[in-house]
Amino acid sequence: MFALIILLLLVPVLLGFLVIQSLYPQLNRAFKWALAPGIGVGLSSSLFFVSLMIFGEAGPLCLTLELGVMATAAVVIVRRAKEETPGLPEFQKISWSKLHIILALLFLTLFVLTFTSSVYQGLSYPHGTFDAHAIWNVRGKVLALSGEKWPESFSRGLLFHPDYPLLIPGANARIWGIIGEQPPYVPLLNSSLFYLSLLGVFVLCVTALRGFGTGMMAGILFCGSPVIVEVALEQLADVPLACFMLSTLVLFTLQDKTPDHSRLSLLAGVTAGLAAWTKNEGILFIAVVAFVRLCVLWKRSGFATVVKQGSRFFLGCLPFLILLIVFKLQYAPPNDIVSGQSSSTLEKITDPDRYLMIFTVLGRRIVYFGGGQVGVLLILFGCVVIFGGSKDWNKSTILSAVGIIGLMALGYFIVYLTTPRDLDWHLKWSIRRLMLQLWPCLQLVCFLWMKSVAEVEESVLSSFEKTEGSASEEELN
Amino acid sequence: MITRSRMSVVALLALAILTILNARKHLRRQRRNYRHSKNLAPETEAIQIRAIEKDIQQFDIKDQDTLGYIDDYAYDRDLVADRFELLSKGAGPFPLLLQYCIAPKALIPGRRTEKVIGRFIHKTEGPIKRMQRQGYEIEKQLPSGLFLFKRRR
Repeated sequence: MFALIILLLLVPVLLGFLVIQSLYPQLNRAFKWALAPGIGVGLSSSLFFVSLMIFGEAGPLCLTLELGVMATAAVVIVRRAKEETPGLPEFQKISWSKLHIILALLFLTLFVLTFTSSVYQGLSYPHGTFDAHAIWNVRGKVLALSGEKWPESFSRGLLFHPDYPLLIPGANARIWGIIGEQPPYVPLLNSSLFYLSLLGVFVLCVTALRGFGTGMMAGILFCGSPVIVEVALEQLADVPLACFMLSTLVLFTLQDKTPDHSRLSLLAGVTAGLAAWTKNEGILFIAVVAFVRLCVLWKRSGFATVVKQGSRFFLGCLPFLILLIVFKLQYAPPNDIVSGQSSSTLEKITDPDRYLMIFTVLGRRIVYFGGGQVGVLLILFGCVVIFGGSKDWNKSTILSAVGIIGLMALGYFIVYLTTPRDLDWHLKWSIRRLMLQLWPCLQLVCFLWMKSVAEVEESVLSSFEKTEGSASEEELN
Repeated sequence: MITRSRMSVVALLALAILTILNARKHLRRQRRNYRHSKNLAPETEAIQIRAIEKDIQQFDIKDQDTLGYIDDYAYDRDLVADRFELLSKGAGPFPLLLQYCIAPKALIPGRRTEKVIGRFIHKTEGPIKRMQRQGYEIEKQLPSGLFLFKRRR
């Protein structure tokens, strides 16, 4: 049984790889494998939902659709086999300096520590936390077990938040439906795939663009933020969402480096679409990304680039947006936060106590964010201040990313301000997860902006040379 | 004089130390949780679970139209109150301890849960009253302490 589950988990990874290879073969192979688990699980979950709508029940039939997509991707790959595939972005050759070796060893140590604690967490809480069994996993079970009556589950008011998109429940229900049982470790394994994909995409992007040392430094900070692995193994949808949001930013970063390769925008559209199919925050993400990229590209590259990249991005999002619209209009009841708005919303917006409460909780969370001994936001902030800005940062990339993170944070703030639920309760149970969603993106921006480890090494050496030079001059005098 | 570049080396060192401290604290917390979760099911509870299994065997758990299950066993015991709250909202039997759980099947549309098995370790009166408000009555108490409810006609 376990071997079958592993096999069923590997199918989406291969599916993801083949789809990426067919859409943008020029991408570096390591990047393709890092993106593949997230995109693959997202695609297979979407295909599961399509098969549920077509065939009426969960089961091996969704595999037929997956194999069909894989075969189509394989045909495209074979047809394009003669095209040159340079492997972008190119990684610089690693020079194994002492500092690089130390950083790599530290990263490995932290990864091992994280892995060990994740094993303990998985054994202690095999069913995840309350939200996992009350929202995500129970919906997966309902989809896998209900047969053709599954749509009624969403309309009968039996489920918590029945309007939440179905990527995570679909990914679990796909396996549960095929094997005919519901072992609890399926969501655990799916969550682990997303965590590894997130880590891989992040470290590879920083390594490719800022050098090996900075990549390792990024990996150290990532693994030194236990909150990421903790929430991943709580089996919630926030780490998958963070994974898709980061992947979108990374693909846009690569797009800005190679403006002619507009298929990167297509892939970014796919990851943004999957973000919307993961959680409602992903819908806000698509709107924010589209707006920010439009503004930044229009100003820096002109209308033609906006049309070219924008149309590709939209094309990538489209299948998932259609799926989402079908789900929201056909099956899901209205969202509780949207439908809960009333004439009191204006009072809430003008109530200074609500602002004070949000900022107080946020301030406290910023100090302790990370789930460890020291707040990781403070660590990152300290590094940024001390390292300072690099000379060769790409302005449009940083502007886009900062704009996206800023507007997303503003969106979350407005939701808190106008929430029909008790604000204290809402903040208590969600602010950690919302901060987590943006945390990998924020780390990426900081590492792309600040000086790389190589630059620091150079400046340290030159400062030593200067000191030695002035000392010898003094001796001579 | 302390230059920015030298400060950067110190920052790198601090980053390494602080992140290792973070990961170490997390590992300790998870190990403590693991030990705690193992202690949640001591020998006596294992015996009780076997008794429950024996009791449940008399029902046809595949008969999903008639059987539901609710229990207040939780890995995190604070969740108990929330789950009763769900029950009172009409969510019906709700899954938590999934290896015994028939509950997801009770959520399936079109199936009426005629009988519900209740396992109430922590509180008894409150959950029973809630079940009664939901239109159930106690049919009998099984040897393992489980309550068997049936829907009132």
